[in-house]
Amino acid sequence: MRKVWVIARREYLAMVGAKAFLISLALMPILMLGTLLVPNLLKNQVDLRPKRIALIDHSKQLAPLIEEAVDEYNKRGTRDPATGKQVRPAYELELIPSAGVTDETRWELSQRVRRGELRGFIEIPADILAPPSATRSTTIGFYAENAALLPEKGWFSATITSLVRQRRLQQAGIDPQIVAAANAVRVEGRGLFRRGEAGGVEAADRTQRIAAFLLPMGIMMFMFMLIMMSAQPMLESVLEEKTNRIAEVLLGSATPWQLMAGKLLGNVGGSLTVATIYIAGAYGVAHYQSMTDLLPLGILPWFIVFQILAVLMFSSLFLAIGASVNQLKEAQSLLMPVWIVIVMPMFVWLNVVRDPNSAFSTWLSLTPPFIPMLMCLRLAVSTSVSVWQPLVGVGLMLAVTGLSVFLAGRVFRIGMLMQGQSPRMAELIRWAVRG
Amino acid sequence: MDNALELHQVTKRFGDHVAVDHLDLTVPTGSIYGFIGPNGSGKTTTLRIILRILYPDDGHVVVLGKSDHRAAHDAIGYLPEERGLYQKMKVRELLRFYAELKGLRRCAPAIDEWLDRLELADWADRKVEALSKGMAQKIQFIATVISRPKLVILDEPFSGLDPVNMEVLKDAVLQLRDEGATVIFSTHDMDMAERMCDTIFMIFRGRKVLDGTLSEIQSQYGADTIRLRMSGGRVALDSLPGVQHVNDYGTYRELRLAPSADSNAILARLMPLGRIERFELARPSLHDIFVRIAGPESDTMREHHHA
Repeated sequence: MRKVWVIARREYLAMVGAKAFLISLALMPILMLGTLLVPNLLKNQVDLRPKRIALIDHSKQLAPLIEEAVDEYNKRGTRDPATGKQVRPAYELELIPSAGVTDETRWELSQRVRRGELRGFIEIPADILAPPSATRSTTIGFYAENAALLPEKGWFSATITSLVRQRRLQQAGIDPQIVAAANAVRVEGRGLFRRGEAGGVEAADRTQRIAAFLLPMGIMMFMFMLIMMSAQPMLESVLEEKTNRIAEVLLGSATPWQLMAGKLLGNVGGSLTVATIYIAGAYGVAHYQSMTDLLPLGILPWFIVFQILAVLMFSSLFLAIGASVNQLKEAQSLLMPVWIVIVMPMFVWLNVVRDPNSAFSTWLSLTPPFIPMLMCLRLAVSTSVSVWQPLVGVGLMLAVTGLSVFLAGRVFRIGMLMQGQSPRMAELIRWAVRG
Repeated sequence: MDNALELHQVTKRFGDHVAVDHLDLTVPTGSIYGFIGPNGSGKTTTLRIILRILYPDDGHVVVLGKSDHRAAHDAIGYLPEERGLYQKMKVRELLRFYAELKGLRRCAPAIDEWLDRLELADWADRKVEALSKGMAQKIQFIATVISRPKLVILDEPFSGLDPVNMEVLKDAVLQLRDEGATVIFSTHDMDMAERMCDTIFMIFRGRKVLDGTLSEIQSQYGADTIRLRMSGGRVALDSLPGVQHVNDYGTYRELRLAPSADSNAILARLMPLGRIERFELARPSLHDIFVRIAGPESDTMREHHHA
């Protein structure tokens, strides 16, 4: 047992002391926050040059109204109401006489868009204001390069629709204000009521909407990250021992089982260190922001247990693969199936978050390789997951992890002393089964 | 305990290939035993069996009086051929790791003593990757002997060392022996084996082909070698009657005689051919014996080709 401990301590120090590890420790949260924050920061990085739009109005009634709306928008809509700073580009409307418009005219306009002189052009049909019927389409064309993505299209669509609607309502003799009032119903998603510390019933904060969505995803990503940060160093460390002939010295001093147990123990220790640093960090930030009630501390014990089992399982697979190849390059093809299993929960997480207690979610979260990530995801979303489910999950994971460590041990024992050509998948499986 | 190591009829197969074939070997305690043999002849497999990394298919192994195969032996130190060190670890931490792995506690004084002795004290807190090849080899040696093993197995311990460091390490090996350790060392350097080893053991194609002291081995072949230097042109000597093989070493040539050949008759045939500067009747060197057994013209090789 002492040997296991000596090996575990070296493995732990090698993992935690590695530069790559420290860098990824710092980088990982930056990356994760970055994906959330960068689009937000870039939202204000808008091209403020005026956007020129050509308008062909066959109805001859809407153009002046649209011009008015554009003027109004250019005066007020382009500026941030709080700071008065311009945050959106102004629009320049160019009226094209509707008489004599042919496809040739449309081609000219298209060319101008392609040359960048115009952002796009709009063509309003003559009968746009006539009451719609089943046989007649009332479509307005907005022509541009990738028209669907342009913010201008959104603005003009909303503006013209509203103008047309007002006109049609007036023609029908209905006061537009009545219609507007009739529309004003909104359904808002909110969290459940709960008992506060004082015993009174409290409504959920609006901020808890983050908890319903982002937090569970964050927890699952965190689990994924912990697996990744432990499994990769395990592969590299085994590979170093093999290629540098350290394996022979080690195996001359300890049994393969002691060696593997020590390595896995050190590895799990390393992943627990990462988990502790991040959880403490997250708690610290939440405390500072007085948002500690947002953190689902209740699932922490489950998370830790599942994390240990997941790291143990995947690290043992990486260890077996590392022991059977001679170069990192050769490991890639063998790692592919393992990677697919690791990232699989990412493909279904949205379905699970939407309906954590459906049969699909329940069964998938009780399917061994996916248990750690999906069970934690469900526990973070829903309070109505009965306690037997994570318990059964732990039991299943224990069995599967035990099996994978056992089989990995057989591959490890044979692979470590093997030089020369790397084995194929079929050969690895034969080692694992026959021992 | 008279013998540090006993192998009895040990056989190891890998698939159809017999790596070690009914090998018997006895290494007396306190001796320096040289393992020689060409690459791929079963040397490493034999060493791994002794280290209990591999289990023999047949036969049994007694190491330091114990034949238990389940646990690795803490009293064996092993220096693998080349490398064997974690590149990213600091020298002192690495030595401490290997010492503790062998069950040695409070090893700091021993580490400092060894680092001093091999003139590596300044490197104690440097990473292994910063060391030169010779320094790394010395660290490897310390890692092997730090736990004071009773049986030390060294695989090419002197490779990559300059003559000064080689002397230092050779003295260290001899001192280990003087302190009662048994040393098995595997090498391709025949001169080193001749000079250092009490007993020499050669394995070829998984079988033992030589086992004994240098003079025992040499006497099997008798004084069948002539070392010859002649002035004048390079005369072809292969066709001389009684000469089996000629090996040119540059400054002199080595003639191997047929068992029935008379050296006087050969001398007489040589004299008209040029001025003789050296004519020495000698026993074959270990190098020559090795080549006779494992070289392309050896009997075993010829048998092999005919088979």
